[in-house]
Amino acid sequence: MARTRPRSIDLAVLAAGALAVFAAGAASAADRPPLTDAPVVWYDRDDAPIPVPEVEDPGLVPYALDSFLARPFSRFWNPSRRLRQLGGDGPAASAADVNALDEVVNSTWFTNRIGLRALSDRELVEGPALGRGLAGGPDLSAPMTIVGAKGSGVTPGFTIRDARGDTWLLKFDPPTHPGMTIRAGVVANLVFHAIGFNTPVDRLVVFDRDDLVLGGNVTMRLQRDHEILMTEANLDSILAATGSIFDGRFHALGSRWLDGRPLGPFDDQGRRSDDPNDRIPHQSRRELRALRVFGAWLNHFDLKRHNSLDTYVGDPGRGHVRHYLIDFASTLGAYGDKPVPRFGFEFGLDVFPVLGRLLSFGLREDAWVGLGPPPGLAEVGLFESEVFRPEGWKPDLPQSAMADLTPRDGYWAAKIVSAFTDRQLRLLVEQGLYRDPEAVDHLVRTLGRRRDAIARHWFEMMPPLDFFRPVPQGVVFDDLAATRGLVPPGATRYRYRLGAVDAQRRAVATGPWVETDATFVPLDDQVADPVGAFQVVEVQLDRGSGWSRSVTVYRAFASGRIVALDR
Amino acid sequence: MITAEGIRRAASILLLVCTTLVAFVGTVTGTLPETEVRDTRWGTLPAFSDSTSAVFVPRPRPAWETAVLVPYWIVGAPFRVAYLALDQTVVGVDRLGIFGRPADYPGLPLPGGAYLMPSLALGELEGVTGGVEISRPELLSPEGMLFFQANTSSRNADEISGGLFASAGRGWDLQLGAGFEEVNLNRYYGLGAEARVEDLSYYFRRTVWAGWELDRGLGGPYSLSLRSDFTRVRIKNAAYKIEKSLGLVHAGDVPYGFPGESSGWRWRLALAYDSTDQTGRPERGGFRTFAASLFRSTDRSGLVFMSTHANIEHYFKLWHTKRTLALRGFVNRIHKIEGGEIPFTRLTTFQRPDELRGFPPHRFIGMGTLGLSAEYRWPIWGARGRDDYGVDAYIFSDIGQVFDRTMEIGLDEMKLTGGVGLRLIDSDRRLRARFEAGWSDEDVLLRFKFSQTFQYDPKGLLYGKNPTKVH
Repeated sequence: MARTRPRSIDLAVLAAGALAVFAAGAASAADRPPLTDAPVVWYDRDDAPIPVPEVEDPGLVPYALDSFLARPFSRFWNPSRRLRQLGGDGPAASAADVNALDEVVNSTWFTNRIGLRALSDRELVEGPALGRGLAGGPDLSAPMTIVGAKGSGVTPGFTIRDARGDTWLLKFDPPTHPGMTIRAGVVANLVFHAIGFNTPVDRLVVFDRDDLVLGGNVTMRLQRDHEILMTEANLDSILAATGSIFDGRFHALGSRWLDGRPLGPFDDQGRRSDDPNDRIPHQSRRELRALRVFGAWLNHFDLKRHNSLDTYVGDPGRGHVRHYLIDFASTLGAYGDKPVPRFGFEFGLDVFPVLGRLLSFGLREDAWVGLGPPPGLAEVGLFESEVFRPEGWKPDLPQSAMADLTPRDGYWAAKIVSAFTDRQLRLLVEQGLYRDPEAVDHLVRTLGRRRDAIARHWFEMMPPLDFFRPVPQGVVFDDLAATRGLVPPGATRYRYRLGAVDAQRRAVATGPWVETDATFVPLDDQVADPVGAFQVVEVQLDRGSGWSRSVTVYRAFASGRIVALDR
Repeated sequence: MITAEGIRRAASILLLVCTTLVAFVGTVTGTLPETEVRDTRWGTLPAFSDSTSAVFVPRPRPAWETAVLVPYWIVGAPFRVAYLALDQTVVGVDRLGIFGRPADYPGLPLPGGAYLMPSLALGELEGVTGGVEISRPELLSPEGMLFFQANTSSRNADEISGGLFASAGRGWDLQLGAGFEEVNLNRYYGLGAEARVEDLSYYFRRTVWAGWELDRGLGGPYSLSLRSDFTRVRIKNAAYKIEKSLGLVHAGDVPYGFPGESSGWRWRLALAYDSTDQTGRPERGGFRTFAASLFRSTDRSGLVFMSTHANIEHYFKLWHTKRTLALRGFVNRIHKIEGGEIPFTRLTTFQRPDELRGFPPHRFIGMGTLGLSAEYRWPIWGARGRDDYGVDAYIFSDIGQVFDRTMEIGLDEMKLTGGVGLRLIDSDRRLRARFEAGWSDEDVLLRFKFSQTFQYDPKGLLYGKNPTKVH
């Protein structure tokens, strides 16, 4: 009898393992559509005309309850996530908005920018203002008229209308940290735009008291829900209490109201039911999953639902929904009233670290507890690279899309993050108009180190062999770790083998492995006769710890074009 | 000669030149529309067209996943329904705007600046208790407060009480309080350190009180408190658990004062020293209280007795941030001055704040109590940092005994308890509540309290605390 129990456990483990292997295999096969000799799809047709959807105004508390309690609980007990994790490709199915080259397609959510092409300096620094005459911020040729007071958040602000008739939200810093949040907000906005997200035009605005006039019937809220009519005296006292006064001039973050009709924030899970173009569950969108990587880079811990916004662009019945990320003031270590060491390291309510501290009786201290802002740099928040671990980064509120990040999603995001050069980072940080050059140096240095840490982590999980292009004698590709300076030149060996498959990726022929130092695969002398419809080029790399997993590209014999890539 | 072919060629060349020019200018200035042809790291990215665009849809769920998820959905259905109810409740409350209100004070706002807080509790002896608390903070002054509470339970444990806190001028603070409490099931085990757990019995107790207190800072960490309160305690057999009523269980050894009534005035003078900076997570400093009180009966017993109380606490910062060792020692002693015997309801016992956590209230009763407590505290969650609102965990041990004469004090008679707990600390670094499990060699007790054994809040009269249940 005593033997029965261990055997049943063994059988259960074996069964779970077999199911996991089956699940991984089945999932992998299901994720790969048949090969076709056709141009690669780069655009999602998700901008078809639709009726104007309803405005959604979700409360923060119900959303936080969902995010902290229901959704993590549901994910934790979901058996398919466990099985997928055992398979090694992350807890969720592959992202649904990627093309055959495993790249995110352009859509109303995302536009490929620095990840795919070199951006000009002007594109970088003007961001969403490019070509719209908005790069200078609000038009100060006449005084800005205050039309409303900011009613939420931890920093003061106003809604103003400028001489051009544009509406902007002006936000200030708290007195405790002059210049911290507004400058970080401008820089992070430009970074997220360069990555590919839709963002509002956020610019640093420098103005005098005379540039502001109070419109009629502007109310402001005091404690206990009392609303009063704002007076010039109120305005003066609010302005005097901000931390955004430098040499007698006010510095503010000006965020231009988005064009179109605001529809409320988008959720990080599910779909907007009244938008027929919104077909893919948001947690299956790679760019939203990858916010965990982008957020880690800039320490954008405040990536909650309420910092996004859908707008309806176009005339009613002929427009569509466009999806934006907004409000980047809680980035680069900045936060409204005080920098908080925990941000980025734990969720606001994180069960496992809490249990860990409970059971360790306080004998162990968390690495982040001792972190503080860099001394002497008043404009810089708690932004560091020593304790930062890309894999461990967490936003304040758990997000379903981020929780579904797979290694392929993470690699894609790291590929974009690593595309920013040090020079470009400096250019972007300088848009924050930091007064202390040391602050710029610190931020550029820290952003660079965090970028490299992110790239190293994800390039270790996925061989960073990418951008395969057909050339007359073969196929060239990039080793991103080498081209982006993460490994020394000549430290990597590559090997490839050629083969042929049919449209279902069934192997028809496979050649031998060939080692090389070059990121080039010659195609002239191997598998000369097309025995299948597609030629297979399978490449691996070795940086001294053995051969990596393969990156496989498929080339159509007929057209010579690269039609697909598998990781 | 101008031919149609020539025109077509010229138009084509013009179109090519224009396109190239637009692309060149766009590239140089960075204003090329983002849907146009681009040179990318993959080569030339094609323009938007029918062949380069598609309607993206979710990937179909594989059959294996559906098979695995079916039992998960079935088992999870009750959880989903329960959560849906919770979620919709929260959404409904949120739509009322309650979460968005500035949190000036806990509770539902009432007219006149008051707040109402409903309460619901489950107790072993009291059954289900429901009630309300009404507070009016900032009454006449920022520190002023008016408080009223009313509770009733399914087993006749009822209370109506209230109090007032106001500045009395010249640095003095005034508390007024009065109340009525009726508890049908009070525990009685016997008198002295040898009282046996098997002798547990119950009795009915009704208390009426009214009193005032004047408090004043003396400079630095010192403060003075003067208090006078009138109490009347009436006890008799309980209406529930009749087979375990005091009169039956202790028929041969009924304590003095049962059944009966005791009433009298008490005058109390206390000196306190508090060098701590907070009640949430004090890491250093000390807290001391010394008090003497005189009780004079107003019934026919002619009883007069004096009681003394000493409490010494100290806090030691340990290895990491906010790791603290809190130590406490206390002693209470009654000295009879004149009159007959002291009713057992006026004797001293382990009750707040001088508890032996792990033993139920009134487990030991005598002429004196002494005890030592040690708590090791460490933070397990903080909303924004170690010194923000959050939760600390603690382990504790209490040791103590009751005695009638000093010579009875001895290690053999000491009772040892231990336990673990959680402390909820607010953003003003004050202890808001604690939840703890204490165990002794007789029992394991779970407690949820809004006060603590250490740094005991002296605003007892204000919050309607029965003076006969507090040292």
